[in-house]
Parts: sequence; structure tokens; C-alpha cells
Amino acid sequence: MTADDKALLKTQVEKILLIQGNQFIKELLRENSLPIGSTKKDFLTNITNAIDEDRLTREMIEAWLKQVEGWGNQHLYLFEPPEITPQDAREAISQSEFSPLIEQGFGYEFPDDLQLTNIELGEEGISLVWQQGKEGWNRTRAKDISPQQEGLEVYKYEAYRQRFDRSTVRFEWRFADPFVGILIHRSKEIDHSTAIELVWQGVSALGICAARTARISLSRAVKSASDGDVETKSTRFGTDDGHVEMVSNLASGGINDVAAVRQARLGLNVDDFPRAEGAFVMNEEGFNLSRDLSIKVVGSIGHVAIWAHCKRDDIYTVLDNLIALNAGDNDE
Amino acid sequence: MTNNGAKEWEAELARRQHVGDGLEFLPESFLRTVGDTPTGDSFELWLKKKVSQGELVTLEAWQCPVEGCGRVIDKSEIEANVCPKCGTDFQEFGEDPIRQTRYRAKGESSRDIYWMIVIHGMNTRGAWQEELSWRLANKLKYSAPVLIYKYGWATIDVLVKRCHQSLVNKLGIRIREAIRFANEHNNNHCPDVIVHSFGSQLFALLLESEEFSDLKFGRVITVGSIIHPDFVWSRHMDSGKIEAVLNHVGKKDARVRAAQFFIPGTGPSGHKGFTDSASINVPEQSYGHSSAFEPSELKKNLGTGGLWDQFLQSPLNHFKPSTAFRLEEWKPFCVLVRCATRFLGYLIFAVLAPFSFVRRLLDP
Repeated sequence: MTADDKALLKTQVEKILLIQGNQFIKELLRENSLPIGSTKKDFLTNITNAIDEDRLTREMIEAWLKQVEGWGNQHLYLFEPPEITPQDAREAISQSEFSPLIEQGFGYEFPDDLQLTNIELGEEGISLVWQQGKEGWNRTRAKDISPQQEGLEVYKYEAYRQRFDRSTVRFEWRFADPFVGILIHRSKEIDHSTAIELVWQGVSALGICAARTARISLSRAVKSASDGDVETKSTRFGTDDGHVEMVSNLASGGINDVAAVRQARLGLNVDDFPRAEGAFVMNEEGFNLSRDLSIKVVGSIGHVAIWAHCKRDDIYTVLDNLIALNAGDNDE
Repeated sequence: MTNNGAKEWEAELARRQHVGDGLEFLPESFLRTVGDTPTGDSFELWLKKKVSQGELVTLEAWQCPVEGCGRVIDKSEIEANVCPKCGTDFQEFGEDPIRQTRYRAKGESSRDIYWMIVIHGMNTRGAWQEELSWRLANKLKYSAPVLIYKYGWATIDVLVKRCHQSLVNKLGIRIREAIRFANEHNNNHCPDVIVHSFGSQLFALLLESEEFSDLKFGRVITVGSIIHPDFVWSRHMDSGKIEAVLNHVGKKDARVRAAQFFIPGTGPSGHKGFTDSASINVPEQSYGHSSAFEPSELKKNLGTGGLWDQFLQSPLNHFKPSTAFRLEEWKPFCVLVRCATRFLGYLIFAVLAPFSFVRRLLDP
């Protein structure tokens, strides 16, 4: 790598470090046997030194980004898989106008609007990646200016600190799965309906399927999970005419750790409620995840929100578990 | 620290551990329960002492700062800066979640009765089963079905071992069918069991049976038990076949004392208790053979805080009835006497069997 390449890579990495979770930056350093440190400043120093000393290359950073960027801290929507065969799908994509994006690699610069930037065609599945860079504003009360009189008026100034979000939207189809997923990074700048529409337009333009497929209901999964299979922070079972909601206020447990709520849950015939949603904790040990994950599932629209930053494998572990819990779903 | 306050706090903590509920708490809500006001630092010192003794664990917790929300926020939600309930982004809102110090007492949570199997004794149709089922259904505000198992009006059948095995097979098949049915109806939990008199012996034989080794049960209550006092309950607990056993001993139960003389493989555990330390023997001085099933006693035993209620719903590690005992040793009565009485039993069986057979045909 030339000195210019290294300088460019360092600038790009600096931007990424600002928004990446510390846990995953540590993992990049640990996996490559580099000094770790404890603050973002330490991480940046160690990564910069490693780039200078050729101990950290662009390829190594891209491989790491592929695992962690755009996974977790996001919303997922599940749909039925397209009817096209994997082989036909690969051929259709290769012949489409987007074929130059195949295996384009992970972009460091994010466009202002959602754009399809990368297509991964693997033996086991297809992954389409849209990226968007946006600014956001964090309220910073410490920088507020106390009310000041100007003439006859009094003015109050509230401070916001600018931040940059790198948002990723994915269309994920593992051929063996009974679902495809649209994964939307949690960002106020992304309207979910618009993003989902954009993804399906892209999928259609790639020749994978002409129209969007049906959503997968996860109501059965919510019902099974809240029966004790998964730590349940809250559930809401609904009909057209009303709903029942149960919530745990415990830090160390869910609704099944509160006797009165647990017994209320036992008194419920959940089959009478076509819709179900819930907030759950899937723990690291019980579900073989890289960390504990808080998730929210809105069953009727096949929507899963995962609050923490995690890895690709974690997302699939969560989805595989939900699909297993969902077996026999016949709700709305 | 005032001694009175500390005593109340100790008692409240012990109560929570005993019932297995309210184990996690905020200091102020704990004080509210005992009617104290959060003044001074004596309560804080007591909490610290309990933490250092390992009785309490300190939990780091957060709460959503948005007025009207207040949801407890966990670590991954903190990291994502979001409240899953109200959707507030804490960074954009400009306020961090409110830090709370909570405590969790050592101990297990309470358990529920999901469904139950009740098996009656000999020479009766077990009217108590209906009464128990009715009371249980009214006690619990959720559905906990009771499988009332009836094997008919057994009389001289109990005198012959071969008849026992036939009854055990029927019982096992019925329970297996009931478990399958419960599973089909989303009830995958093990049933709790209450057995009486000869029903207890059938249940013990069922546990020993290889053919029915797939059957698993929750907590078991024996009343007027004629199971051999040396029965090895711990083996069945270790293998996961049962969770625990409570032997409600009747100190005035004369009938169980006679069992070993006429009914093969039995003993007076309903009077003497069990030797296995894994079982919990609790005596009742006034109880005869079926006293526990009298309506007034059922009300007491199944009512909140009653012996059966505690055994069925409380965490086992805190279920320690003050009168519980362990039978140190038990030896059956002189073998010659038992042979003679057993022989007499066979004679009675041989003479009355045809009549019993006809009666069973007409009135099972």
C-alpha cells in the first residue's frame, strides 16, 4: 500500500470508528493480534499505527466491515421467498444493468440517498446492499445558552451536536430459508415504507421477482416465545376489538418472573388473539449469540427490531429461532 | 439501625424468598411494603450487609427518562440509545436514562400448577377427587385441568400382586394418553400428582416400571401412603421423573399400618414416613387415613399459605415445614407373621374372586 493509500484508508477508518460499537472495534484489533486499548482514541491510534506498519490492510478492514456494518441496531421485515430458482436469480442479476455492482465490495463513502451499492452472489444466498449517509442532531444541553435579553425580547438557545449516520439497507435471501429479509438500519432519516418499496423495485429491476412477495406473520412465534421459551419483557395480544398487554418491570427477568403476570398469561387463550407482538431478550448463552440481544417482534407484519449492534451470524440466529418458534402459524 | 426495623426487613426478605415472588426490588418499594419511610441510612446499611452476605445481589438498571414512559432499559438498549417502548432516541432527546440501583434476593421464583393427576385409594370411588378438582379450579384463576383417574372399586384385587401390575399398566397408558393430549393443547408441562392410599402404591409401581419410563411428573403429594417406607425417591428425582415428593403423614392413620400384612410390596409410609432424605415427610397429629381430604382440610391445605399450596407453588429450597422429619430406619414386621396374613389374604381372594369378578362386571 502506498503512503497515499494508507492516508486515505486512515481517513476512512476514522469515520467508521466514530459510529462503530467499541465491542466490534476491539474484535477487529484482537483478531489481528493488535494492541487494543480502552477508548476510541486508543483504538484509532492503534489502528493508524497498524496501517502504517502494514499489519492492517484494506482487505482485513473490509472483511471485518462485512461482518459488522449494517448488522444489528436495525429493523427487519420478513417476506415469502421469491419463486425463482437460485440459479435463475443469479443469471438474471448477472444480465441486469446492475451487474457491475456484483461483488463491488463494501463502500467507505455513503451516498446522500439510499443507493444500491453492492451485490453479493454466493452459493448459499444473495445479498443486496443499499447505503446512505445522513447527518443527525443530538441534543446537547451542556452547550445550551441561557436566556438572553435582546431589546425587549428574551431568547433561549438550545444546542444540538451534529453526528453522521452511515445507514445500510439490505435484501437478504439465503436460499435454504423459508423467508427473505429486508434489513433497515435504525435511522430517523429512513422511512420504512419507502425503503421497502425501493428494495422491491430494485429486486424487480434485477429480475428476481416481478412484485413483492407476501409478508410472513410472526404472531405464532411471539405466542410461543412468551409462553416461557424466551425471556419476555412485554407482550401485547390483539383482536380487532381490543387487546391485552403484559409487561415486566424487572431488570433481571421477564413476565414469567412476576407470578401475577405469569398467571394472567396462563389464563389467556392466545389462540383467540390473531395478532401478537412482544419484546424479548435472547441471551448469549441460551441462544449461542455473540452477546445478549433485546428484540421486539410485531408478529402480524413480520417485523423484528434488534436494538444492539451485533454480527451477521447473530441476526440469522435470532431469525432462525423465531422461525422455529413460528412453526404452525395460522394467524393474521 | 433500629432493631425493630431490621427485624421487619429480615422477615419481609424471608417471606419473598419463601414464596419466590418479589425477589427483585427497588429499595423504596421494599420499604413501602413493610410500611417504613425511606429515612436515614440504616436501611442502606442493612442492604449493604445483605449484599456482603450474599443474600442480595445489586443490579445496575436504567429507566426511560421520558415522562409517562419509565420503561426499564437494558444494556443493549442503552447502547443503542433507544427506548423500545416509546421509541425515544436518548441522544436526540438529550437526556440519559435514569440510573437505578435495584436488588435481587437469592432464591428461585415461584412455580405454577399447570395440570394435575389425582389417583384414589382402594374400596372407594374417591369422592375427594371431585372436591379437590372443584376447589383447585376455583383457587386458580387460570385453567389447570385435573385428570381424575378412576380404576374402579378395588377390593380384594389389592391382595394379589398380579392385579397390581394390571392396574399399573392401565394407569400408565391413561397418563401417557393424557400427556399426549396436553401437549397437543400447548401444555408441555409435567403434571403434579396427588395420590391416596392404594393409589400411592400404583404410582410408585408406575415410577419403577421400565415400560413407562418416558412418563415425567412435577411435584407429588402422597396421603395415606402405603408405599414401602424405604422407597428410593431420590433415584426418580435424579433421573428427572419427578421433581419432589411431599408425604403428608397421618399420625392416627391405622389402616396404612395394616397394609404390609395383606398387600404385597407395601408399608406404612403414610404413618411412619419415608427414609429417603429427598422426600419431605410432614406429620399431622390429628389425621386418619383420609382426613386430609375432608372439605375443611382441603380448604386449609390448598388455601394460600397451606401446606399443599406452598409445596406446589413455592421454590423448593425455601420450603422447609417446621415439623418435617426424616424416618431414620424402618424394618418390616416379622416375616412369619406377614407370610401368614398374606396367605390368609390369598385365601380370601380365592374364595371371593368369582363374586368380585361378577360385581366388577356389573359395577366396575
